[in-house]
Amino acid sequence: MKAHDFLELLKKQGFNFFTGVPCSYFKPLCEILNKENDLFHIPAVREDIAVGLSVGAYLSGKMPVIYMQNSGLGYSLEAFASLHLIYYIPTLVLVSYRGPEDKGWEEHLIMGKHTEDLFRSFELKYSIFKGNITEEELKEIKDYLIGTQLPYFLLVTKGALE
Amino acid sequence: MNRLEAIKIVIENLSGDELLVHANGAISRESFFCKNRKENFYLLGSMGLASSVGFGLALNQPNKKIVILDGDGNVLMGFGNLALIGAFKPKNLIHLVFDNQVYGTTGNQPTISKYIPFSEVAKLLGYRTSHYIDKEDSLKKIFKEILKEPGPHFLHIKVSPEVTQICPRIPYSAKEIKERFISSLK
Repeated sequence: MKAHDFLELLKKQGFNFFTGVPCSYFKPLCEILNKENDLFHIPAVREDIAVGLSVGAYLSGKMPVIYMQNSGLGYSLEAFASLHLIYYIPTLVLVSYRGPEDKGWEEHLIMGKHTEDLFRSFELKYSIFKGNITEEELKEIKDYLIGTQLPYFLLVTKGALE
Repeated sequence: MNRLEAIKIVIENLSGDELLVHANGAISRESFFCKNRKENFYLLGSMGLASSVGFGLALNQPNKKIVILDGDGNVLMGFGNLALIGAFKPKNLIHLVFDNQVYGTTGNQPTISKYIPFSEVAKLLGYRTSHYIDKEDSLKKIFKEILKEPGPHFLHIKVSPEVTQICPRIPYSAKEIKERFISSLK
């Protein structure tokens, strides 16, 4: 799916604040986001800082999206546990799924192997995004966010966004 | 001055509807003890991230002043936040660091703050103004001044680790803290 089309679908659902740390999987998305202004996109310096930033944005009435590599999920779990999951901060989180499919990167093996286990252990709702998502499916995710006031995670595979 | 005395000076000299974001632990509790304001957001945990939340608010609430009440241990943990705030320079952000040189709530273990010239670092990173303060009268004077000026401002407030008053825990759940805070913005 074109990153541009994905972003337009997100905007249509009302998502209007992006922050995160890049992954090569998100290169096409980041190229577009980096042309946006400070009110729409802030590149964070660490994933947990992006998690904190999304709270400030949400409190101000924004609908935040965070993007990060699954390596950054490790840094962020405590931040989600002590912010989003207890204050109830609805946020869409795009997590790139390094590891299982792109062999040869030893640094991603362990986190890749356990990424879905981490979501299950922390009772974080997630689905795998392989490059196809309809407007209806995104609306369902948004309804989940609004209804539960909890975060939702899309685990983004290699080449899903181009 | 100790931290409670310093926080009291800050609270007493607010001009009105500033939004306060508090680091976890004693900073939240001491501010709550001084004054219970709906415009206060308290982090119960998430050490190091008060300034992330404050920065996110400052960007999206351009017509309000955001005051972050941070500690030395917190700033050291979330040091990248100083770079982020310095880079984006939100004009409505005031970053206060109450530096007691210890991790107070865990038993006064020393932080490395005595080696760190926070106010110089903040200035170099791009905060518009930055001050080192160790006296009550200068805290009052400078805080009142910077409230009127575009920021971002940084105050490194040296306080003693002495605790003369144990302040009770915040009596609200995280969800209640959020809902009170959001209702103050409407």
